[in-house]
Amino acid sequence: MLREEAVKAALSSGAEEAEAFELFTREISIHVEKGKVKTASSVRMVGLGVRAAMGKKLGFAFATNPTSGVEVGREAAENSKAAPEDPDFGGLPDARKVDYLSELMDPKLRDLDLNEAADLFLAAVESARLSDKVISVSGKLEVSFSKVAVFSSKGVDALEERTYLIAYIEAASKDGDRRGSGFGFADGRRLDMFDPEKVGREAGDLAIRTLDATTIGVEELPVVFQPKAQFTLIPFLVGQAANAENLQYGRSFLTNRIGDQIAREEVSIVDDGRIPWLPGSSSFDAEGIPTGRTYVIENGVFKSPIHNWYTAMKEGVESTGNASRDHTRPPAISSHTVSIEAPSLQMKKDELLDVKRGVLVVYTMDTPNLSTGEFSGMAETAFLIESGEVTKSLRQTSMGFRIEDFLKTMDAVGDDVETLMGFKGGSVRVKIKVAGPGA
Amino acid sequence: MDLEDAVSLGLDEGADFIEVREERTYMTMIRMIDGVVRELNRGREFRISVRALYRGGWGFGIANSPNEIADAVKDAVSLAKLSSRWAEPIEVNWPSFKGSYEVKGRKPAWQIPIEEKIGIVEEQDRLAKSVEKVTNRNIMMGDTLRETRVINSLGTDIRQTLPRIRLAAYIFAHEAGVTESAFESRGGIGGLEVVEGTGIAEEAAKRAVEALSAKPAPPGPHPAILDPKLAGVFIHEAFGHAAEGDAVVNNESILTGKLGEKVGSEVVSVVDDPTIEGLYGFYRYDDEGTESRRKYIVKEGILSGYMTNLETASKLGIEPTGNARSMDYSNPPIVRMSNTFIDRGDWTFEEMLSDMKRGIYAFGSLYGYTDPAKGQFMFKAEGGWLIENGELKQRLREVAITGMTLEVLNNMDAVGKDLSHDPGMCGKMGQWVPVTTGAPHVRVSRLVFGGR
Repeated sequence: MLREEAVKAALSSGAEEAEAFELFTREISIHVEKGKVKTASSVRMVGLGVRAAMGKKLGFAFATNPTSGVEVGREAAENSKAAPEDPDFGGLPDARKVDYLSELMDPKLRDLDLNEAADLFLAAVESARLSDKVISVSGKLEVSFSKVAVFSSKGVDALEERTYLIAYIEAASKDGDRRGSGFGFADGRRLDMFDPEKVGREAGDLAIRTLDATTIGVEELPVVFQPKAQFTLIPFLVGQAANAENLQYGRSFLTNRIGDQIAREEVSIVDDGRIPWLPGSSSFDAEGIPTGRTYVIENGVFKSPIHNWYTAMKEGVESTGNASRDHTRPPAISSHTVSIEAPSLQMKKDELLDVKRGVLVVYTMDTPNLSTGEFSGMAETAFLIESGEVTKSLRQTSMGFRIEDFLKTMDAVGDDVETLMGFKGGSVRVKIKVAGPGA
Repeated sequence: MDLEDAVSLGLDEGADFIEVREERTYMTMIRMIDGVVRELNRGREFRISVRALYRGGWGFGIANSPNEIADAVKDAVSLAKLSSRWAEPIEVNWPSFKGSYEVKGRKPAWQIPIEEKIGIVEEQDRLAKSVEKVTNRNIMMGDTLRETRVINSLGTDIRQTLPRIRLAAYIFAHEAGVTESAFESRGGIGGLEVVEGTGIAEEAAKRAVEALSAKPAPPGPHPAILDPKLAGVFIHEAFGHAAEGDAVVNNESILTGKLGEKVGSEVVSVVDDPTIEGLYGFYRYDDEGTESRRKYIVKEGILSGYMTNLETASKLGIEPTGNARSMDYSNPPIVRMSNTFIDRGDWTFEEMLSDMKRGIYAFGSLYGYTDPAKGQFMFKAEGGWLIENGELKQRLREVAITGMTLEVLNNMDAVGKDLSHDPGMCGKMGQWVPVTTGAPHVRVSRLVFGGR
């Protein structure tokens, strides 16, 4: 096997410790343009990434589609000889017992062929055509089956199979000179987590509703963030702001703030690597360490960072199992699935809209600033709320707030829980400043 | 099986068009944090991809070694036949190209000992460390050598070897409970000479320290001056993506059907030019083998061209512009930008500034994106200055700027003489490719800022 060959070769080239990360992926995809299948694709790939350590010196090498692991192992060892010492490097990860999850690989998804995938995805495309105003529907469905393995001279020997699906649909609309657009997407590790009709209808509906647009001026308003508007915000708090490397180097606004109240006390934020069938879940992380559940914010208080082995060793604590990587880079740190827990703030989805004047944000792509914790970004898809009713679509609407104020002014959490892109939660309502060019 | 036999096999299997691409890539990455090498990484990748067209449907397959080519060809043709069930026929009346091109660079990075490369990274770290209040230094240097060959059933046969290198610094500073950061990079086609002798880490360090005194920007609409980096990202995000042939053909762009129409003020001309040697987005041949060329997208406010690949050029009835690019050969080529910039005008920065009573000078670019269908965009400035009576008065923090593409191009009333380019990576449909954004300073009479 590539990984064993690589570790053996690294050790025989002088490395004291070695670890190989091996990834086999088979992916099929259907790409649709203007409502028609444009490209059907089938790709297989083997990746091998090797770390070799010599004392406090660490080298890395990788290859995509290697025929043998020997050369990669040797090169990692050679790189470790050339690398200067890292005083904080405490050795490659030790072996830990992995409790394997069974809900990561769906045989139906693994065995899905391109004909079935195309029929499934075209059902979503058709569902987006809600009227003649929808002039174009495009999108892509990707389905992958992977085998992930970590093997090391320290006794790590982890292997598991995972499946993954991601689908997105974009619909463009036109009515005279007015233009609009909408999207829908879904991800998961199980085939039935993709509901083609729902994803397509969502894209078509947004495309039509965004035709009727208006602008607003500068106002401080109740703003409801739907789940799709949160996956660049809430997972950021965990994956970036509470990332132990960013804290140790003083990059994050949460540096030296463990124990501080950063959200209202009804709010907890948790990272969980073991929720069945979610894309953020796995039995072990990219270093072979078992994944777990970490309360990052508990009752409003910043409680714990997330770690990989290196940052954990540096602080003398256990890794939280948050190492992440592809085969081309050494492990970094990232969140699994991040959720907001605030049972006492929960209400029905529609009750969140019960404000005299406000904004409903369906989607934003922006993230807060890591150093300052301030957010300045665009409500990419947003609507005006007037007397409890969602009315016109908003254009050129910016939002500016401190992420701590976002968490402290949160006064309602909806029951419309969705899971996507590493986030699990319902809509939330906060009070923030929005800015547009004027009504 | 060699690539020529693969093309013959594809035609025998019934394909209307077949393309085989072979790619070898060699990479080095060094990442230093606070003077410690945290990543010393070398790698290589090898791929052969096959793309087949059958009655308007495309199929795409991969071979991971020459032994797998025949299977990849058969896969691609059968996938194309599958796609054709729903596709519209495409006429394959495309031009073909033959040639080879190689850039070596004066100091080929691939042949330079790793210790010398570490020395360059260390020098940047020292420069940043020398700046007071700097608390965290992150220096990255990556180089790649990409050797490619593209052949197709129309007779195209192109070989190309391009070395790319990029040096980047991400620096944090801290004072009195406030942390700020700044990013700077240099990169291009060539060897180590592209990044030697630069002071990027010091520039980033000084900007991070300067930002410690910054305040949030005043939210709402303001007159603005954009620096070359920000104006470059604006034109790339807000306009360039809307001028990509696939969005245009699919009627998903606000520029569909507007060729020859006025889309901006007459002071604005926009160019996409992959042929500028040395720039990060340079290539002589695109990933379909089409010879690249310089073209005006906008000339003095008039929409004068789109960026295309073979298929979209044919559908639009224009010559292919050589803008088909893929992240790597596990991905089919799609229409992408290269070195895209606002052409120089005749203003100086001082003239623009002295003309402005109150507004914002926004500089540095963190990222941006656009929705070509609605024509709405956002780009994020690293920082800014509040302008009062022609003077820079108060330093401002990172801020989002939003607008509608065509409105902003029409509101651009002054373009500077000081054109400069900046390397970056552009993402589209999950594929990231090296590009250069560029512009001189520009002035816009009204932009919406997302401060607080």
